[in-house]
This record gives sequence, structure tokens and C-alpha cells, in this order.
Amino acid sequence: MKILWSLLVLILSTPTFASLKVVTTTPDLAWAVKQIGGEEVSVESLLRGTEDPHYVDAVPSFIVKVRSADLLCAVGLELEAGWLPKVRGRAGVLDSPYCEFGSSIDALEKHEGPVDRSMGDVHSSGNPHFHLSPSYLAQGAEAALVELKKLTPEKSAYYDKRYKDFVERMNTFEDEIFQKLEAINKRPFLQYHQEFTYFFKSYGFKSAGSLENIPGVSPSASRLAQLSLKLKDQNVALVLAAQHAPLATLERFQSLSDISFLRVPLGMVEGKHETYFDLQNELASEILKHAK
Amino acid sequence: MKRGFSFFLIFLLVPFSLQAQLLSQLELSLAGDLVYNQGLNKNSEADESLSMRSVEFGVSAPIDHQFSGYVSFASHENEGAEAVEVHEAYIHNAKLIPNTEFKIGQYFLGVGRLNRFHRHEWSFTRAPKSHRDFFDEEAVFDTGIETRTLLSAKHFVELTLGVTSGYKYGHSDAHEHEEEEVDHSGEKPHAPTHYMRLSQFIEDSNSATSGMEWGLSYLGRTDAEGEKLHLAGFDFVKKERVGRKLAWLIQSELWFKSLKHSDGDKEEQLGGYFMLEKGHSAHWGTGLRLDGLMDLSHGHSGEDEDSVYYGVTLQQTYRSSEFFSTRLSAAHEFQRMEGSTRDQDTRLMAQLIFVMGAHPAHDF
Repeated sequence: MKILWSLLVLILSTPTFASLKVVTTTPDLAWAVKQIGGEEVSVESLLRGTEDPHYVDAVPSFIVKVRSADLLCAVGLELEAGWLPKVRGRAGVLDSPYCEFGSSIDALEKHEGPVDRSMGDVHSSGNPHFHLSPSYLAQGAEAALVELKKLTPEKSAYYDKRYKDFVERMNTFEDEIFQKLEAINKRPFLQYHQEFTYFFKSYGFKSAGSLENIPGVSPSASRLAQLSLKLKDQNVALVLAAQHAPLATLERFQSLSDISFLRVPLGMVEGKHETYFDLQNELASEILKHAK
Repeated sequence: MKRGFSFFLIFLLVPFSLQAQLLSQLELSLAGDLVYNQGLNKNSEADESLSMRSVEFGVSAPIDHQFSGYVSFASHENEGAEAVEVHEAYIHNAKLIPNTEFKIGQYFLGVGRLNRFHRHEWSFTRAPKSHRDFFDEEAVFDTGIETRTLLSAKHFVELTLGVTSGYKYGHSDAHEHEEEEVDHSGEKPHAPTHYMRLSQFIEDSNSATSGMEWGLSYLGRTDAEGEKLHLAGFDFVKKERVGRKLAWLIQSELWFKSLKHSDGDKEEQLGGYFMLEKGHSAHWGTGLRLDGLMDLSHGHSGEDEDSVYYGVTLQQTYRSSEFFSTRLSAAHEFQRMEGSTRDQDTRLMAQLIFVMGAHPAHDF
């Protein structure tokens, strides 16, 4: 009997590592939350990094994952507007712990005044593609920090310390990449869609605008022709585009303007990037290689 | 006078501010579906007119901390006159019962594939012959309760169960009702409409937003005159999405229908369709749909041989954005019976769909 009691006491006194289950929409956010939460959180991303986060269906597996999460984190700034509200509604978690990284950043390209669909895929509260900038991603992660502290206040000091370290590491890393890219960032760069605005800002790139005339709308043949003429003498280094940007359009513009293009992942890809730093290093080296 | 004017202003402004506050909490959307049918042979039943097939106005919002609500009104053209009806009006809950969501009210019954979606969300313009015969030109809706339970979180297996009043079967308005099976008598049935669907979603290994879903459905009902309806079906959809482009869409349904009349006679039919669409870009997609419907009850109809309907549709879709698309289709349907071809219907269809207001949900 004594042995049984001893076992029971031992079991009850053994520290349990019951972690918070956090679900994020993209792998970048998942990685950032893990940096703050450490061993106190288990994190899973709904997307794998190969998708365009705007054009996603509310698939049944998302509903299952979101339903069992202690905390759901999204990019926000209306990026997931087409599917996440549906997923949250069907999962019955509309009033459950939720954070948007976008709410913590000083967003670029905010629109003053009324916004309607004639303006294309315009996000009134600002450009949501901030996750390609280490410093902006770190800023955004503060939204997750706030929610984690609410859920487990006793771990607040632990989260605070890890968040502070995380911000420092991200800023230091951004400086390192900035120095790497300094060799080329004086030349203007063009982007297909406004997905590199924060990236350009973080690394001091001069922007030559975007290939799309209306955000989210494929550029017309006349737009490509006009832009190629306009940029003819501006020594544009490269057109940066997401992996899923239309190849035919980019090739057409390249043939018209003689400006080469580079399609890159817009975020961490599961199975390819272990850390966010891997993604940034890949982007920097690819840009350096192609901009020369 | 000034005081009176102030009161007048307050009188005017308070309702407006309350109205604005209310509107800011509602998700409002409006979808239009404009269709033109052109018959290409003398037997074609195409109406050869341009008509707004439906305009649907939807409102959704949380009701309280547990329930949300959805109401949609649709206006259909019916032989030149506009008929307005409530399409759906239900409350939804996904909190009270673990792993289960339910809705109570009027809604499209959660069986098969097409019946669960509004017609303007379909991947083609006109319903296959089997859907028109077994369900309706659009879908069967009714008033009742439907639950959806997750049976396996690991394998994403869901079970949908529902029971509705069964007073009517089909669509409440009479637009385009060619099929006599659609019942609008509105009398108390012997057995209410009851149905179930067991479905599984299988994730794609490369992309979380690509995958496939299959489902097995059953629907039964005994109407006021004692006619027993049984429907059993299989539905399948596979989507492969690359960025904004829906690279491949495969969608199919196969249904078996048994209708036993009160005098003991029995009708049995087997029908379905198979649809394949290839996306060329984020905007363009080409699709092919094959339909079939076989009457297995020639004894009842007094005909010597089973009749078989065939249909083939070729379509080209242009999606300007998530909110606007156009589709041009060429369809040919015919019936084969006793060695001859009957009821040939060849038509061209042009469709234009637009959505205004709240961002439409991207359903799988």
C-alpha cells in the first residue's frame, strides 16, 4: 500500500509540461510564436508556405485544428479575410483567444478615406506582407506575446525575456543581411505585387514600383509595355515576385524591358526552411546572385 | 425655435447612428447570376432570353456569444415575373456540443455536393439532369435541424445528420420546374425528410489548401400521399490550387433514387455527372462535364427498354477576380430509348456572376 501511495505522490509531484497549443496561419508566425513561447507552447501552422495566403479555401482540416487550439494567430490586415472568418465561425472560436500580428505593427501603405474594390486588392489598414522583414515580424509578434501572457500569466516573465531576446536577434540579423545586400541596394528594384514593400524598407532597397497597376490585378499588355519604356534608363536591378506569380507575365516583361525577374518564396516553407533565418539567407543570396 | 430644431436633429440623428451601429455589425452581401440560354436545335427547351436568374441578398452576424445567424433572400425570374423568397434563415452554433456544430431554421440540406452550395457558387451554369430530377434546378431546402459532428480529428471524418419538416421537397418557388418529382404540395408528410452524409477530407501533401473530399449521403421522405422517396449518393471533389490558380478541379456525384408509389409501383433511377476543369491561369479555366441518367424501372412505365439520358457540356470560365466571373458553355443532352435518340437539346449558355459587399467565403 505504501508503495502505491508513494507512486501516486511521485506522479502528482512530477512537473507536467502541459503546453499551450497555438495555431497560426503561416509558418513564419508559427516560428515566431515558438521563439517567444519556447517549451511552454506547441505550435502548428495551417498553411505550409507554398500557398498564396489570400487565395485559400476554408478546408475541413483547418476547422479541426483551429477548434482544438488554445490560441489562434493570424497575419491580419485582411490578408486571410476570404477564409479565416469562415474557419473560426465553423470551429466555434469567434470569441476564443486570437491575435493578429498586423495589429502590432506600424503598417505601411495605409489607406486614408474610403476603400472599395475598384481599387483592387487594397487593404485599408495597411499592406499585410510584413513578414519578409525581420524587424516588422518581431514587432508583430508582440501581439502573440500579449495573448500568451493572458493565457498563462504565471509565465509572463519567461515570455517577456524570450521576446526581448527574439527582438534583439531579429534586429541584429536584419543588420547583417542589410550589410550583405548593401552592394546592390542602391539600384532600384521592381516588385510584381506589393509583397516586398517591407523587405525593401528593411534592407534599404530603392523601389521602382510594382508591375501590377491595380493591386491583385494582372498587368495588361499595355501596362507592361509602358512600364518597360518608363524604366528603360533607370538601371533596374531585378523584378522580385512571389513563387506563384504568373510566369508568362514576368517573361513577357523581361522580353520587353530586358529586366530579369526572380521568383522567391514569400515565407518559410515547411520542409525547406528550418528557421526564418534560413529563408532570409536564401532570399539574400538569390537576390545577390541574380542582381549582378 | 432653436430648441425645437435641436430636438428635430437629435430625433433624426439618433436613429441613424443606431442604424449605422447595427449595420457595422452585419456582414452584408449581394450576389447576382445573369444567364442567357440559346437553343441550337428545334427541340431545345432553352428560353432564349437574357434573364437575371437570381439575385441573392445575404446577411450574417453573431446573435450572441454562442449563436450566429444567417438570412438570405433571393429574387428569381419566373416566366417574366419576379418572385422573392427566403432561401436560408437559420441560427448556427458550434460551441454547445463538443466537436459538433448545428443549425436550426431553413437551409439547403447538407447532402451531396451541389445541394450544399448556392447556385451562383457552382462550377458550372446548369445543373446536371440527375440533380434536376432528384433534387431541383437549384437545390432542396427545408426547415429543420442539421448537425455536423467530427468523428475523427486525425482523419477529418465528419457526420452530418438532419431532419426537416418534409412538407415540401424542392424549391419553394416554381422557377424552371420541369420535373414532376419536385413536390410543392405543402401537406404534412407521413415521414419527414431525414438525411445523413458521412464525409472525409484528405489533405494534399504539398499544399494545405489542396486536397480531396468524398462523401456518402442518404435522404428519405414519405409524402402526404404515401410516396416513399429514398436517395443514396456518393460525391467527390478534388482541388489542386497553385497560388491564385485553381489548377485542377475534379467533381463528381452519383445518385440512386427509389420512389415507391402508394399503389406499390416503384421507380428506380441511377444518375450522376463527372466534371473536370483545368485552370490555365488565375483567370481562365476550361471544363468538361459528362452527365448520365438511367431509368431502371421500365416495367412501371410500360416501356420495353430502359431509357438513358446523356449530357455533355464544354465550358470556358473567365474569373476577373473573386467577385466577378463569366462563363460560356455549350451543352448537348439527349435520351436514348428503344434504339433511337429522343429529346435532343443543344444549347449555348452565357453566365455572368457578381458579388458585392462582404468578402465571400472560400469554401472547399
